[in-house]
This record gives sequence, C-alpha cells and structure tokens, in this order.
Amino acid sequence: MSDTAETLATIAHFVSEAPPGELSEVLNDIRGLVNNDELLQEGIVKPFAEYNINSLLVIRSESGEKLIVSKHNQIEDGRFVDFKSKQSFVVDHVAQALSDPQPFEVNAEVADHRAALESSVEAYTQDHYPNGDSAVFAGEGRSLVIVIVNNKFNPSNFWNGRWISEWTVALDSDLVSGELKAHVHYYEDGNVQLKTVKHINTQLSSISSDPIEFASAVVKTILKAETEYQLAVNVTYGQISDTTFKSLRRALPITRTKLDWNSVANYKIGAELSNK
Amino acid sequence: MEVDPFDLSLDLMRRLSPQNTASNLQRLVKLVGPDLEDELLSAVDQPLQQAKCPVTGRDYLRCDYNRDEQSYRSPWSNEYDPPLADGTHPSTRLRKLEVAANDAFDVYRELYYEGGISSVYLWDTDEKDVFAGVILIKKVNNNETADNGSWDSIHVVEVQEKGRAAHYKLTSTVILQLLHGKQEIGELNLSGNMTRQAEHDLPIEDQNSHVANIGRIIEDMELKMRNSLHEIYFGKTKDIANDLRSKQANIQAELVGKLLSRK
Repeated sequence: MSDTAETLATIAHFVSEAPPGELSEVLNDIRGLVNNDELLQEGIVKPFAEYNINSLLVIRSESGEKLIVSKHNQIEDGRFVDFKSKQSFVVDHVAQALSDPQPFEVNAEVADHRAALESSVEAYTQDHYPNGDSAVFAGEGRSLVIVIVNNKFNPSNFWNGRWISEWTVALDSDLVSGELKAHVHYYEDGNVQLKTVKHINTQLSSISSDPIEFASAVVKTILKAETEYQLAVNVTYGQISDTTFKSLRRALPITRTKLDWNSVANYKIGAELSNK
Repeated sequence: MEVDPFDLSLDLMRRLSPQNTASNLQRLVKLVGPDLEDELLSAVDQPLQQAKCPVTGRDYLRCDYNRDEQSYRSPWSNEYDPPLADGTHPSTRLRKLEVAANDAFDVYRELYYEGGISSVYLWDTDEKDVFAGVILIKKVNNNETADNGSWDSIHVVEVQEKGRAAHYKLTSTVILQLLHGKQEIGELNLSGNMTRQAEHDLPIEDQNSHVANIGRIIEDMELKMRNSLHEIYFGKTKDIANDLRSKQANIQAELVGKLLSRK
C-alpha cells in the first residue's frame, strides 16, 4: 500500500483528469479504491476546488442566483464574486453549493462597460452556445474578463463534452486575448478523448469609450475569432484523417486485396514491395 | 455492498486521459497494492514498448505477455533480455508455431503498415487442448511536421483445438493517438483506445492452419476496427465538438425554446 502523501497525490491527479460530467463517477471509483473515507474527504478538497475553477463550474442557488467559479472572480480562498448581482459567495467545492452571500461593490470605473459587455455576451452565448453560461468579471486595473462555458452530457450514449472560452479585454485598449478549450469524451467500448487548446491574440476593429459600442466591438471580434477557430478545427480533422491516420495503417495493401494467408510463407517481401 | 476494486480500476481507466495510460496505471497499482497488480497489468492495455533483440538485432515489442520478472523474451531469438536462468518459454511445438506466426505477421505488417514492428507470443494454458497468444503491431508516425501519431494493435487469441476444427476467441484492442500542433490551430489531441471481440470456428488440417486462421480473423477484425475508429475519431467526436458551439446564430432553437415555455 502506498503511503499517505502518495495516495493524496494520486487522488489529486485522478480528479484533475475527470472528463466533463464524470466527476462523481471518478470520485466513486477513487473512493472504493482508496477505501478510507476520512482520508478521501481530506484529500479531495483542494483537487475539487481546482477542478471546479478549471472547468468553470456553474452553481445555481435555490433562490435563483447563478455563479460561475473561475480564477478570475475569486477574491479570497473559497469566496467568489457574482458581478451581475453584486454579491460574493462562499463556495463549497465538494458539495458544489453557495453560502454566506455578501454585498460586493464593483469598481465604478469599469462598472458600465462591464454591464454592457455582459449583456452583449449573454446574447452571443444564447446564439452560439444553447444551454451555455457566460459572465463578465472586472479584472485587474481596467481589464474585463469574459468566460463562456457550455457543457453537453450524454452518458446514456457514452459521451460528454465541454467548451470553454476565456477572453480578456481592457477599456481604452484594442488588445483582445483569449483561450479556447474543448474536451470531448466518447466511451462506448473504449476511451476516446479530444482535447483542444487555442491561444488567440487579436485586436478590436474600433475603440470606443461608449460602453455599448465597446461591448459590440468586443463581441464582434470574439465571434469572428471563435468562428474561424471552429472552422479551422473541422479542417484539421479532415487533414488528420487524410494524412496522419492513413499513413499509420492502410485500409488495404497496395495489391488492393486482402492477404492470401495460404501462401503467406511464399511471399518474397523484397519482390512484392519493390513494386511500390 | 462492496464493489470489486478490479472493476473500479477498469472503470477509472475508461475515463482518465488516454495519453497518460502508463503513468496512471502505475499510480493505480501503487494504490491497490501488489495483489491486484498482475491482474491489472494484463487487463489494461498500454502503448507497447519497443526494444532491440541483442541476439538478432531485430526490433521487437514488449508487453506483459513476454515478460518474466524484469526481462523480456524476443520473438526472434526466443531468449530473454536481460538473460534469465529459467524464464518461461513456449513448448517446442508452440515455439515452431510462434516462429511461423511471427514470419507471417511480419508480411502482414509490411503490407498494411508499411513499416512499424510486429511480434507474436504464444503460451500453453492449463487446459490440454487450449493454447493462447498475443499478436502485437506498433506503428509510429513521428516525422518532422506538426502531426504525430501512433497505432498499437494488441490481439489476444485463445485457441481450443477440437480434432479437425478449432474454436478461436479473439479480444482486440487498438490504441490510437493523434496529436496535431500547428500554429493556426493550437493544440489538437485525439487519443484513445477501442476493444472488440469475436469468436470463430474454423477447420484445421495441420498446425500451420492456425497461422492462416488467426491471420484471417485478425485481418478481418482490424478492417472492422479501422473503420470504427475512423467513424468515432473523425465522425463522432467531431460531431460532438460541433454540437458544443453552433456556427450560425441559433435563432431557430431560441424560438422553439420560447414557444415551448409558453405553456
């Protein structure tokens, strides 16, 4: 049996690799294998926090509040801000629950731009990520961070997927930088996973101090970049299929017929293959 | 009610990243202890390691089936590397069959994979008329471009001889990793494995019939699996990815949603 430190490291690693929508199944497996609930409860606190932050966990409270957990809206250990409702909450990462709401004052300098951008991003998200969630946070200085997350869980058909967009913009700057990630897991009779990461640096086509014009310009830029990326992913699929996959194993030998196993002993490799 | 740690392990390995099978398996083995180690190592498929036979200079593949202690048996020389005083060897009859199988699959490998490495290992079982084997093929595409890929075939076959016929049970796994990293697209990683099974009853005239029979059922299996892999990798995962984000504004979906919520 491994020692405690090693077990805790293993727990943390396994949690971090849980595919979208399968955190509880992974936890269930770990629980049975570790066979020490006390150690497990202690060991999953930090890994769950990291997992939730990395996967932009969306928590809905009973009273209708919604919070997206991200590294960009964490104000202190365990406390996250919902800018829209001007509140912060304590997040229980294991129970995935909100508690102890406190009022939060949004930086007045960026408040109008943030609100306008959030509205535009919400409309954009509804258009392109049905059932997705988005939020806009005030970042450092006069920067704003946009997060979009879209989960699609279909365990009865053995697949799950998640898309994440994170964009950073700033008032009176035309620089836009973002990171797009997709993770798909297909597991009928196997384990197949798609993971993509794309870093983007681009610019707004126009700068405006007006919040609504600013919001519109940002969303226009994001729309263009994300659409281009999605198209590029599809093109890449085609390329990988036509080149890398084919060069690993042919569909049929160059003879265009299956192997004659009765006379395989007679195959003179040199002679056959010199006709390539 | 306790669940078997073996089943939990297999379920876990179905979900963790296929790129990290080897290291995750090590973590798992440390977690569950030595009792389960052998069972896990033979049940979980990992990308195959390759090595050079010190006697013949030919490349061969290493897996749990040709391992004894920390040494691996080369299918070409039939010797262990590093040498073992009394390592496990197939019987004389099986070794003869093993040599023929290795030669045959060497041809198969060249015709379908145009490169790569293959190895076949056979062993007797406790049952008198039953022997088993594993047919391994590995091809790696590691050229200078931004595309890397690797294909590992692991076919485990159990053969029950019944006079003039034999019953073949085949369990095949293909591990396929495709990694793409070009400037415009960022990183795109498509990795995974797939397992299928098949059973056949086929006539045997002599021992060599086994090579042809096993050859045919594996060739058919790989044909099916290559098609399925293509469908899943380039069809299914792509469809799901495109489902996560719709290229056009989803006005229609919104309208339907609004209509439905108007009850």
